[in-house]
Amino acid sequence: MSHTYRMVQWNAQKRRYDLALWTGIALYLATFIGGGLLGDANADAMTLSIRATATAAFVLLTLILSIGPLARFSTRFLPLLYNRRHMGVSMFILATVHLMLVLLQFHADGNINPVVSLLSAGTPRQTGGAFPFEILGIAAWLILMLMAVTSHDFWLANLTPPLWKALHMLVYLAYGLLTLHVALGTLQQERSWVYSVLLLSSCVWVFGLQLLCGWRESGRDRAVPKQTPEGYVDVARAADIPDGRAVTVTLAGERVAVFRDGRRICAISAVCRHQNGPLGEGRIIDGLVTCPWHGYQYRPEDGCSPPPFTEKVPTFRVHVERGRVLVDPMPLPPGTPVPPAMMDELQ
Amino acid sequence: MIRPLRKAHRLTVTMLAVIVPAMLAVVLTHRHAISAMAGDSKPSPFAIRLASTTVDRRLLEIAAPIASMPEVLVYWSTRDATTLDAHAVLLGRLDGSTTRVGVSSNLHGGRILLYSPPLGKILAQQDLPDGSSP
Repeated sequence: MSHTYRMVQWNAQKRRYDLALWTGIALYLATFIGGGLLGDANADAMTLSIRATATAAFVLLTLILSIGPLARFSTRFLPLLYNRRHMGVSMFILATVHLMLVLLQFHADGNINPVVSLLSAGTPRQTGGAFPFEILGIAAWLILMLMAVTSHDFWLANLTPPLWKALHMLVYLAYGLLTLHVALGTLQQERSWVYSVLLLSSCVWVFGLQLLCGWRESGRDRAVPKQTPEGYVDVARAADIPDGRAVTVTLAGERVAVFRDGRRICAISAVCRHQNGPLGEGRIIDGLVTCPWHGYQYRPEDGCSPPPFTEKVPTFRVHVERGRVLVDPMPLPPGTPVPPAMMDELQ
Repeated sequence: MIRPLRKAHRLTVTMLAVIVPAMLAVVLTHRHAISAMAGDSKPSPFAIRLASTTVDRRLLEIAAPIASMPEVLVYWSTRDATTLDAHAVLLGRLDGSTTRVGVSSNLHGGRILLYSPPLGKILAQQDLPDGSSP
């Protein structure tokens, strides 16, 4: 992370990701518009484009909101998570194209300013008693714009991860607004049950996954590990921690990742400094704890990123007794060196 | 560290998981009925008249039969049409029982069309009133 602005750091994986993403988007748009024109002689290309960009953006948003929970359930989804921000910006571009096409189609040909026309379109009198669905779409678009412009690591570093994450949690509100934008807009005239079922399915899928994941995570957080008289917490049998991996426990309300690297046992905060990713679900690569989300790395013995990086996470005192790993629940300041506990040879 | 954030995340998602599907279900089961005023055989229920004229524009007054109706847009087109012409100029929206719409003096002749996007058809049309006789 850097507090100074640097261009997006492209690599081969990001290029492949974006190529696959935009190929998929292009195929979807071409199929939607082309199929619509071929299937209905009265179909209008502009209307089809408005709907194609809208549905593509909504499908992408559904996918984006699903990736986080899915990656917690299975590591197979981690590659999708790696470049999720590019997917988010792509979705914002589609939503913006949709908005521009709507302005062109419905608001640009008169002698009223198109933006004024759009913003004044929403009074109940003007919509014949119906809810002004345009306002919901505009509100969601503003949230998505805020997220897109602050998606760069420059903003993540300057706003700090907690504030940045709090800001980006508005995506759930944007999703709710868009769901109602569709329901109060096009679905008021589109009476086929297929569209209603698809929208409802997306809603149930997104919130169902989020709730299921939250329920599972909160169950883990509520687990109370055994505490020794010295105040240490018995977290696991040392031999049960897979080599190069970690077990995650919640101590004093915060998650701690207890890693095993060969015979060495270390404990650091399970929260990555980059985007609060789950370090406890990462691996030790080249002797460094590696975040499963974006590959940020930390030394297990002091929680510091290797030079030239400067990120640090809190560390915890740890020792092994009779094959059990005991951790002091009091975190040490980020970057504090702690000698690794050694597994008994007999383990 | 991020405990408050996790709590806020759970609270937000839980609240929206209740509110959004419930609102969606209500909205979908109470969709407003599309007005039947588009019957082709009936005479047009709209009245379009010239309200005033200035140097640069004319003000049309459009009277609608009821204040509550699906969205109706007001267009100007050069020709008589059964469907909306691609070059029709959007002038505004019908706003309740009486709406005033400005028409640029640059537009001469042609017709005023009242188009309903929900119904996908022109509800009424009339020659653009001449600015010389308000």
